[in-house]
Amino acid sequence: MAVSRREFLKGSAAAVALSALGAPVLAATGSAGPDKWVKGVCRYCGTGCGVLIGVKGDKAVAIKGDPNNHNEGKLCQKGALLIPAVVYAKDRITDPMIRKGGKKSPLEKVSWEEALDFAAKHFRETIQKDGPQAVAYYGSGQALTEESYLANKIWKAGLRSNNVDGNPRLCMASAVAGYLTSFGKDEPMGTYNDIDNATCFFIIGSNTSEAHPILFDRIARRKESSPDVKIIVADPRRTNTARIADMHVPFKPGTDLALLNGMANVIFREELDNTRFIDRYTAFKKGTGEAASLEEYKAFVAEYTPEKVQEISGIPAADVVKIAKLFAESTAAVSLWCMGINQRSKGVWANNLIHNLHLITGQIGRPGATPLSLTGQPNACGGVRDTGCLAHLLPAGRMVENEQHRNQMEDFWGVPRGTIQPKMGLHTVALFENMVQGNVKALFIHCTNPAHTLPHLNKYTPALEKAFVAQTECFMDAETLKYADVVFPAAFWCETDGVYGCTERRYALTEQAIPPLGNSRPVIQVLMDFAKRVGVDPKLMPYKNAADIWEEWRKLSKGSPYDFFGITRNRLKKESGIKWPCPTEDHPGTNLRYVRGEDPLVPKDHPDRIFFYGSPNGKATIWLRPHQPPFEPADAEYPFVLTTGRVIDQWHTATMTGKVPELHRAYPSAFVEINPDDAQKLGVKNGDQVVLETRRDKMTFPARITDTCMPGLVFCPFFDKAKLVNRLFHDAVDAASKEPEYKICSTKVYKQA
Amino acid sequence: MAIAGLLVRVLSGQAEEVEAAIGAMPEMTTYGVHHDNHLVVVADAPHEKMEILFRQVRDVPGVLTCAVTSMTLEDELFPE
Repeated sequence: MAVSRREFLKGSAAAVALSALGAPVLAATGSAGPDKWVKGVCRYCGTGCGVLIGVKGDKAVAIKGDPNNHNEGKLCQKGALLIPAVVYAKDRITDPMIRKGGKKSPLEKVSWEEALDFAAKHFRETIQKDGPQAVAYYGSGQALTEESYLANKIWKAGLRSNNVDGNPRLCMASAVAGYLTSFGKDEPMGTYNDIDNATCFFIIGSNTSEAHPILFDRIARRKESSPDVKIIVADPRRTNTARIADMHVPFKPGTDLALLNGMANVIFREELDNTRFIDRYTAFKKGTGEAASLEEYKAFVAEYTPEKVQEISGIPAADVVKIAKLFAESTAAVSLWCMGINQRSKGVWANNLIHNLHLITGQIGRPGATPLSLTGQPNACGGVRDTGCLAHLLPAGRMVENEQHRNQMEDFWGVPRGTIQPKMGLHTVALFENMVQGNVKALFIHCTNPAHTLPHLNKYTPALEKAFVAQTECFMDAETLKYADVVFPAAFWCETDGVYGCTERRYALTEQAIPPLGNSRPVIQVLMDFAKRVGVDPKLMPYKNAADIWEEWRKLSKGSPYDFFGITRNRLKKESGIKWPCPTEDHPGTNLRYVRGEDPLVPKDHPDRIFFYGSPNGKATIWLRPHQPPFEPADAEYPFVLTTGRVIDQWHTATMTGKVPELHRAYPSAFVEINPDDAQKLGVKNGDQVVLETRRDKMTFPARITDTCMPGLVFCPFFDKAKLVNRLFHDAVDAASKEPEYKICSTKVYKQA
Repeated sequence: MAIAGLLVRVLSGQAEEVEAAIGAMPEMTTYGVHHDNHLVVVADAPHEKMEILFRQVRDVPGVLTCAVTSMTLEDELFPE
């Protein structure tokens, strides 16, 4: 029987879907199909789903989930729609552009040489006149690892400026500082495998369903596998994630520290703590850094009685007890959190308190028992955190302010001792503040959109008007382009090659599938051409391609707590991601970090089953951190709390998802969610224009009346460039991580006259 | 026209109703219920319309998650 080509393609699509269920499916045969499939990683969130890109001629014509990666062949709709809408978007930037007559003049197409010379001249002259601290790099958790490693090296060792920061400061910095302070080193000890073994999920400050749909699917699968699996979702919003929860626990925004301490109190009161684990593997510290005892800790959390937690958070006391018992009594508990915890003025403390719960119960270092911070961008972990592409860091967990670490890097990079400046650079908010003040005069932006994403935009947008801005960008609708003096067209995603490192310490390669569009170029080439023109010694950049940079970075990791020496480029081409530590080429990668016999850095004959080798005493720290209110809680004058976040159909600033007509049509513009009780009091109906007025600005949004938000809380997504909701926000940051508190500010809410 | 393969996870006991609802959508072909609560579905539509179809599937009562397993545009770029 003849089968039409179309029927064949449909049958193939069904077979691929079926195979994602693990069903044995005969390989399709026939002439239909791409010429080749090229392996990569999805360009969106930090889940790091493997993709296969179908190529015919020099065109990307298909995409499917990589069955051999952790996503087992599944993609969310955003990832599946990368081709063609995003890759072949009409507003792709394909030529370099400069503004010849200053900020108010139009961007004009020029040659690569003219654009590079133009940018380099400004940077060179700025450094000559004002020193290296007057220039900065602002990178991205979406940049490839090789790009971030190279930019960091160029700035810190080549230009001698530590002003290297990026958008992970806005999303992951509190998780980084949380891991560092609790365990001594950044990055999680668990992996997605733990989802398949957990019997309790404690999801707090994460809308996993919409922000990490493929992980949500995996959690749902685990839940279906056994009625004993319990899911607790603690969130002031009743999001889609709560659909599979046994308990949704709404609480007053900014009171989760009280909840977490209250849970710890119940755990001790009910004798659900793991004394042997605590004694052997943990130490206690007060907020001052001073050592504390178990008894002091118990006394500290004893103040957080269920009744007190109820008073602070609004969570019924009985529910506090119930959550704590579900967590501690389960055979294996996974905690998952994201921006609801990180983007807070006490974000690091909140991270610490989640870790505390795992440490006092021993819910760690076993399959299914782990704290696991979810990541928002595809390469914030591998690209920025691991390579040290932040103002205070150097590669592989080294710190700028540690002389020994600086010397190690100077020796490795072949520059004289003393080259790297001893003082840390400016973190994001401080960087833009210094730009406003005129101290930083030239900024190189790569793969991010700060004119859309910075907090308190009215305060910091002038920074971009004042400083000289060079920017790599793929899409013409990025808000920051309004301020760019020079624009370098960047090869997008599958037009170049490089490594992404996702939430679970998995490094995976995206190979080049198609040529760069128009005159766009791989960013490593742009960075090197730019740096040489500014005056950086070419010997510092002896690379022909991204693989050369990876090779150097791989060697640098050898022997460090981030050891991935065994993850060669060749292995990455063959395998669908490998989880570090991975010290040798025959090592399979690590699921349980810090665990004897599992983590190659804790050998089988180590005396302790768990060894937190990042910490000087090998022990994790349980911190005594009190509840503290957010920077700007609701008050009589501004009685509502405004929070922001994602929606499933849009990602970040919508420069990619905005290209997909139907994604965009689903959520063409921002809106404000209001609880029905509040709406009734305010006289607001669905679709009414509602004003949000904060101490910074006021903006109007159409109302969506929904019980997703608890009374007193309103929510706006942040993707819409026509409604830059961050204009409403303050710029308070966490004292340790310097991450802004995007999740909570106070606001007035009223119907537009 | 583009073709997308979908794997739809449904709430327990609702597979038949969900299959009927999705099967009634003109651009959708269902390929049966698997493992009690998964539907294999193929969407056949212009790529510009795909996301709205995905959303329609997601919004069917009883659907828990909707993963896309493949998307090919080859027929749009290289018609038969």
